[in-house]
Amino acid sequence: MDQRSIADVTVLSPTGRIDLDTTPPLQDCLLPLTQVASAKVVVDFAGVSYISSSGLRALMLGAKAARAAQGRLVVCCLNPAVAEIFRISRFHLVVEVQNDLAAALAALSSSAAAAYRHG
Amino acid sequence: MTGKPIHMPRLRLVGQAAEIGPAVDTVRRFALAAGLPPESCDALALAVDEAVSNILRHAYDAPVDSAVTIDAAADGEGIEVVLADRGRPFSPLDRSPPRLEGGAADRPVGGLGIHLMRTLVDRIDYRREGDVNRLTLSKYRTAALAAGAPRGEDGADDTGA
Repeated sequence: MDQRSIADVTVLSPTGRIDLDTTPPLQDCLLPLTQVASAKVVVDFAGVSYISSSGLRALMLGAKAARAAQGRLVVCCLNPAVAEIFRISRFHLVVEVQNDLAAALAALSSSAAAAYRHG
Repeated sequence: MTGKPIHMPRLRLVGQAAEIGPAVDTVRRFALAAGLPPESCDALALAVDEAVSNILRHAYDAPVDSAVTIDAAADGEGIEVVLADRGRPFSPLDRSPPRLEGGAADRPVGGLGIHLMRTLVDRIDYRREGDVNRLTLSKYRTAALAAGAPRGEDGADDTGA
């Protein structure tokens, strides 16, 4: 699981399928991050081809944890298939969805957005 | 089903989560080869994923030699995928839909898999035959057929159960 920090935001970048088999490593990364007080976390879906309810469950747990810790969880770069699953599951009500990483960072932190712009 | 059906070679899963991806891809490729629109193939693939995941998570108390078999057949009307397992009796049609409104604080963690399965295919039939759960997921070729077809809840009546 690729994980990096951009200013005060942590970006997770899972790849491939997110299903019953591959959700545990994502969840093991995501939950501790979202449990930190006031944490700002982005899950970048640019490399994700597919998500099942197992992955949605991990995002739900992350969103609940972030809310409890006064943090925020944002996702970005959903491909059309993943976006359709979010729509059917009404997951835009659960996590904030942004079109791309720049928008996700800008939604969370001006310093992270600036750091990303300047490479 | 109408016309002479073509069949996918049976898939047998021993019950490892790592088997789901390849099995789902096989069903998706079969659906594509049968000429279903790509978005219908994606929807069917995820529905099969959810059905298999549910069986692997909940059907058995102990590891088994063969957890589930997957058959698929395509004809002029569409595709039927049949999942068979010998786990505890379970009909996904008996579950009420999960709460889909509200934010993270207001919604339950689980229940989405069955909701996705029911939303993504045109028809679901469930039968308990002896010690076998037999779940049939159907996806039609055209939206018109899908719109005129009975939903799984009603269709369950024709099983004679």
